[in-house]
Amino acid sequence: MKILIADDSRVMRQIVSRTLRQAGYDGHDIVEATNGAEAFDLVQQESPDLVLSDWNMPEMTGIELLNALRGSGSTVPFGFVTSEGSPEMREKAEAAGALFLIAKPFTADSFRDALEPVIG
Amino acid sequence: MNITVFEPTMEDVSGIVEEVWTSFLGADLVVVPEGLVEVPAGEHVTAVISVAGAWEGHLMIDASPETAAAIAAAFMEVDQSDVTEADVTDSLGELANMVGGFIKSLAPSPSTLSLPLVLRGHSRASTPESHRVCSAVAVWRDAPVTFTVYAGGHA
Repeated sequence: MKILIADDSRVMRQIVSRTLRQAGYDGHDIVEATNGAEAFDLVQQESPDLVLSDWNMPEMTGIELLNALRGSGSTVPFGFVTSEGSPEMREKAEAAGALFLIAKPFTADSFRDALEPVIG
Repeated sequence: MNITVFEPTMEDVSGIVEEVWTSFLGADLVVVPEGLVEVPAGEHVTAVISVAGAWEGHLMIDASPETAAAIAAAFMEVDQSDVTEADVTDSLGELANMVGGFIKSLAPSPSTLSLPLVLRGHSRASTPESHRVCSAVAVWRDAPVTFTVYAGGHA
């Protein structure tokens, strides 16, 4: 399985990758993007099975990325990993087609709870 | 016109800071009101993030360069000697993003969260036309990390 992690923070991409392993999702291919625009291109090139995206990024935000992907016809499973976990943001995420929103800071358990229904 | 006054408290800030430390640094820390712990003068690293919209405010995080490097090393689970200046900028910025994002979630909506800015120097950064709302000092490995929230103005 291939997972694309989009976050402008390299440190956070490392933490997400590490938490995926801690949650039992090791052995997957990880592709990294530093912003939404790069993530959009990488989805076309790499055909990931799941996108984990930050919300607040330069060039293209996470919600703009999701809207662009759905607008392009992509149905790639998509979830947010973001510091903005208010009910309002969760509603926006769900309305745009995100399957889940994991709020930072997170634990391996919160990753497992969000990802298990999506990738098992 | 009704104006909603929102002022996060030290308890709001300390709660999210403790959660970040527990989740990502695997450590407990003590958060105390500013003034109870001496914050040394000298060079420091400051991360700033802003909320704009229905509520306008800023969060500033201050730490010594050594403490900032220790935070980066803990986030990355590497030796401090392997931490670069870019790693420190990244880590402090992400810390500001997490604490700032939580403050935004408490604030009136709609509002947007800026990208973080990380500064280095001997002078304290300031935000014109804003007033200090609350401040908390996290003591980690015997070193202070100061979290200050300002309301109003532009960073």
